Amino acid sequence: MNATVIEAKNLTKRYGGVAVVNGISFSVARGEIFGLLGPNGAGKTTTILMLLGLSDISDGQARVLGHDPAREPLAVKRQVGYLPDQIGFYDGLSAADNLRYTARLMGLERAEREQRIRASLGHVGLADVADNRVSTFSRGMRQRLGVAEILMKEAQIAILDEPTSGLDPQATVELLEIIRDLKKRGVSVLLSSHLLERVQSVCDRVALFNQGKIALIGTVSELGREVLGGGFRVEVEAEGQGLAERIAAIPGVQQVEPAGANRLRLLATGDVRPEAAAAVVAAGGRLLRLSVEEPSLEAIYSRYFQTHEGELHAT
Amino acid sequence: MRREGSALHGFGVVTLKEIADHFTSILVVVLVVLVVATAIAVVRGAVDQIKEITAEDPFLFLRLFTRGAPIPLVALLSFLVPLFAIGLGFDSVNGEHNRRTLSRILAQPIYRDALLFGKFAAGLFTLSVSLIVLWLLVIGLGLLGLGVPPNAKRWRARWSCSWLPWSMPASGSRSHCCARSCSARRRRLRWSRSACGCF
Repeated sequence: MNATVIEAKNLTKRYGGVAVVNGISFSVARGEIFGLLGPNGAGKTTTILMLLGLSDISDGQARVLGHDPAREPLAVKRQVGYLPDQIGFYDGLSAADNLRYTARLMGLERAEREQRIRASLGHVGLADVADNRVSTFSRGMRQRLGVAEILMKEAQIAILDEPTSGLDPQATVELLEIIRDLKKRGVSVLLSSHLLERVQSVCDRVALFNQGKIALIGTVSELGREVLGGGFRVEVEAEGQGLAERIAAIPGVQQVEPAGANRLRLLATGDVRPEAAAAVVAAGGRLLRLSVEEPSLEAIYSRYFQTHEGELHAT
Repeated sequence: MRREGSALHGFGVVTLKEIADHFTSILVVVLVVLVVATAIAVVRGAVDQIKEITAEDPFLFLRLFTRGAPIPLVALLSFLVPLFAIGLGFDSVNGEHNRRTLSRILAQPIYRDALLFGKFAAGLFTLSVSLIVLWLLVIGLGLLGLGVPPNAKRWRARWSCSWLPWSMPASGSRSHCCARSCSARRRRLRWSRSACGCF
């Protein structure tokens, strides 16, 4: 289950001497959702194209399901589904006909083809409009049709380039649900995006791209500890006397500051919610609310780029 | 660097799809109108001219292709073939790019060679079909207009012209050379036949 499906070692792409992707290394395990994050032009799409064998690799090595995408692109493309950013279909053809064309390019037999097309369209909720022209489809429906293509391919890896850009919130939620579902089927997902909130909710691990390099890599909470500085932010809302002193006495609490009426914000080395609750109750106070602030990817991202802005301009 | 698999994997699928696209597009209506109009215009012009030289020419039927006012078929073709070809091919690749379908198709297990060659072959096929239709129309209308069927003795001479439509798609500009070699051959034939008293 933990086998590596994508492995990049020191992957580099140069366009006319300029390194667009500069020696990046990462790996994606089977059944994992891996996010490539970064500002536009950071090299996310180029990395994806190299992994698919659609762009030559200037330097370094890539392995996708044990194949070298530069030498065996057909073997790679047979098992990898790709949803490009700004996906397009033949507007004059129906949804099913569009899938039929790609199924024939994959070399599927007729019976197999029809069965897989029906199943995949049903799965993304497009079964009713299978014979409608794609020109009548909304953007969200097109994205779902793109996912149907990946399902039809029975791909082991799905590479999604900016899948949620330009979608309304409802369509985004639906698409993310479909992505989670891909994971349930054992498909590894490589996702690129700059919409952090959305990505945070689905990704197991993320890589933060910056100027063609991976600046940070890991789970969201790991990145949070690294960038925002370790520590939990716990907020306590309670009524009572002398709570601040009692809470400050809890081992592990580094700082207590008032944050409005009856509110205290704590900075602690661990999750001190149980101790804080006990302290409030022991002081005879009334505990109204107790929450711990998860590090948000958005905060990590903006903090990272704030602290590295000087370097960005210098280079 | 050697890559695995055939560069032509998926070629047939692309070709069939492109042919289907050509034959269902508005372009094919334009092609049909152009082909029919050309055939009628050329044959009318040629028949009028040929009627005046009936007595002196042993290969009347072949003159349908090379004679005519204001412009004979071979000369018209050298203009029409590039026009057809440009019409069929001008946006076949950048059209895919603009519709954002290119990257999706290239992510399927085919090489880009298959896509490009498939598009070329489909264009060639469509062009060949329209030129064969034009050629048959000219023969048919010529039969009606002249009332002279090409007789068996001239089969050989006519056969030499039958590759004319095939050579067209290859290059519009070559039609001139081909017409010239045809008429040279016909001239040789005519000399030899009249020497033998065949005519």
